[in-house]
Amino acid sequence: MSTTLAIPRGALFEPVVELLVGADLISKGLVDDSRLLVFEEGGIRLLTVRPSDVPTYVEAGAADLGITGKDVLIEQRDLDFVEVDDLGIGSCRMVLAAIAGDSGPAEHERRLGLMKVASKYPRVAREYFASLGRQVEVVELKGSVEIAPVVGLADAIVDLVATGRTLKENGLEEREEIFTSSARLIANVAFYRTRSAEADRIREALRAARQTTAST
Amino acid sequence: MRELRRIEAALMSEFARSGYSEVSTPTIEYAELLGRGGRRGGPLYRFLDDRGELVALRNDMTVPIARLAAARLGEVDPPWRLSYLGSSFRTTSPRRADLRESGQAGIELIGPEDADGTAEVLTVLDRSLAGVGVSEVVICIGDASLWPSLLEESGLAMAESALCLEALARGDLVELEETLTSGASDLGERGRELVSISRTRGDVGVLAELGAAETAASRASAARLGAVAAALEREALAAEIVFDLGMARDPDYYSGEVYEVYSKRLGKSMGGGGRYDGLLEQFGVELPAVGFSLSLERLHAALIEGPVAP
Repeated sequence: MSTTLAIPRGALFEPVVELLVGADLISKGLVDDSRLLVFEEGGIRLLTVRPSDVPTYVEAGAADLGITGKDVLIEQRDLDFVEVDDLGIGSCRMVLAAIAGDSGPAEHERRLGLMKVASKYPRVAREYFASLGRQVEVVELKGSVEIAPVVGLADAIVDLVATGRTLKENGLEEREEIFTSSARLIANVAFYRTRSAEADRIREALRAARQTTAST
Repeated sequence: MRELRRIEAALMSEFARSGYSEVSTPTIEYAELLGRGGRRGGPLYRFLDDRGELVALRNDMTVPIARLAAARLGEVDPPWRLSYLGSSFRTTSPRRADLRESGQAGIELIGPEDADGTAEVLTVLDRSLAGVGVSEVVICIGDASLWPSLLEESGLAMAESALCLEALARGDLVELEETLTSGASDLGERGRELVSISRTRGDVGVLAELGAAETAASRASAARLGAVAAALEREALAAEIVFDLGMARDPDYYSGEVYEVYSKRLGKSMGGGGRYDGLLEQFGVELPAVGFSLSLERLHAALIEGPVAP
């Protein structure tokens, strides 16, 4: 019985593949940036999917294990899976950002009692402000949220930043940090319990690979 | 429908053969009643009846049966063996094909508080699944009382303990590890021992490890689960038995052994149950109880799911 692992396309793709190679779970060169979506070798089958789809595959059992960012897991907390390990790669932060030097957001909050926030993470944004008792209107976008404050669609954005370069290039600056995120290994609950030895073997291989990379 | 009816018939005849009498409770109950027992969630479809009382569609079969048993069986000497077949109602997510109404069949054994009672219920569970024809069954057993007592014994502050239980219930082992081994609530060596317990799954051998741990809570739990394992051994079940020491199924509701049942052919639980010794007290009868329920839809799916690709 082979083990199916869902891994994210996009920014996390390269570091995740590197980690899998380092852990000896796949050989170098198996996975490339081609249009192929499924790769198979030995006892491992890799599905390459959108980061936000990883929990869906894992919950349904279409994948036994998955790797994706903590940000995705927080946004999709209603799904059922076991969060097995922090892989320590793909570190980034969820932040509230606004146009550099712009006092608009604060003014709006103070005078209108409300601020407009654009985000790809509507749930994270809503819960963060609700936990602080602050009123916001969340504008849900699927991409390029940095434009929203520039054209006046929103006062601020809630988004992930790794280096902060995208923010800077679009004239934005960080105002508040909401949480920090990194790549996590998640498991289908049935797989985690009924095939525990396989789940543990992969977790330990990834952990060992991470320590080797960290020490070199 | 023919296939579903066959599943129902196989289950109900096995329950009857094992000495369990079928009972029926109303689909609509007072919302307050369904909330008793401290079960997570509570009823989801609530509305007002003709007199303005808040009523709800039942979201669980056990609480109504506890009410029925306490009200009507008081004169009969326990143990009481009851079975049921009916619908319960729950929330669905647009991304899942789950239905709001789910067919449930199960049993409740009220009276025995020892491992033999739990083993009897698990034996009926095993025979019922065999009767339905589900193969490659795995019953995963945990202990709902393990973590509340482990955390209490560790001296962790109430707020952090609550965080840990919450993380376990969500299956967030990363947050559990962070809380126990870093920051203000760092428990050092003890924290690392707890983390290792939270990740321990496997056959009966893991209970020996748990029993060897330093704390009274883990020894008590190892003894409790060990007695169940020993009783099950005598029954020679068809299902594989595994233990998950990080399983924290609703600790406010369950008081001891808890279990989920899987088929290796289906990536989802087909049902589960556990011991809820405090529930009947809510209805004025102090008797321990243990039971399980199975989802008819999941059993159906497990039956038609082909063998997993090699």
